[in-house]
Amino acid sequence: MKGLLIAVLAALGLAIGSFAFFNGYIYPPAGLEHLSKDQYAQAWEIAAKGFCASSDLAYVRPDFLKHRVVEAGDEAYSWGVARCLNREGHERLVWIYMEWSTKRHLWTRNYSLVLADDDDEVYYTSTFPGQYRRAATALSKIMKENARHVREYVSLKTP
Amino acid sequence: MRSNLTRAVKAGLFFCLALTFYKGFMKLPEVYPVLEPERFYRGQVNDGENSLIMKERHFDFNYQTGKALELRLLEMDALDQTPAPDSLVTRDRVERAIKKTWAKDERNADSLVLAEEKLARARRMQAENWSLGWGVCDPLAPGTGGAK
Repeated sequence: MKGLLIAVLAALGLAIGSFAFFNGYIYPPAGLEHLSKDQYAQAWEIAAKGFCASSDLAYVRPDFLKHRVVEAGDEAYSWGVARCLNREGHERLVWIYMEWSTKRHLWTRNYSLVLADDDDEVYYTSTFPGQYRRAATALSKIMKENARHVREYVSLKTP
Repeated sequence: MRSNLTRAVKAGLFFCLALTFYKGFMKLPEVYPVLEPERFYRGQVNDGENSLIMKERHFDFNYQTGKALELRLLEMDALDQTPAPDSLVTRDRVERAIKKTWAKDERNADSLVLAEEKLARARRMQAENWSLGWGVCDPLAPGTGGAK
């Protein structure tokens, strides 16, 4: 009984640990390792196209791309919006935000999402939807994003 | 009789306490800019620069969300859609969300100004070689206390 409990806890810990390791270490710089700090535009475009391909969207063009470098430090950031088309042919704006990792010296994907998507919190009012539906939406967004990371990673590694 | 383990734990605890004291002491505004001026001012300016970039990004994110919401409203008009009232994306909720992004734009623009002021303050401290000093500040004339 005790052994079973330890085995279950170990499996759970391993699952959570590998989830965090993949999403926090393996996925963010995938396919961007060779790019230098100045090659932010290439890094951003790879990330934007990868996001669209793994989100069932057709990449059209960038709306804007910003690059900001800190002078008193190694940090650098780039963010922008890509214009895409979904399956029905409707336009969607996609937010792509990248950070230069000062520890690993490579570009990392940080936060990317479809702006004003169907499950966006921006539509919430104080009473709608209820707390359970909000929690379910939040969980489904996390799991969908994780699945999308895996899809993007697999398509990068299998040319 | 005390075992070696007890002694080792006590020594370890004492070392941690001494380290905590040292770290806290070196972070005092009276001490840090005097003993490690370059690191202190660089840290202040670095923080200011990163904050300013963050505020600009937050402004952009909200502004672009507003643009995306307006796209969805146009899309609803073009398709003449009337979503069910219990669905999340209805005309009413999109209109509300657009107004919300306008309001947030005002606040975010203000935060951007505050971040610019913070960075300017950090650069000024660096240029003036600021340190808190050990004197007592006159509450009616802040900035006059403390020896340079």
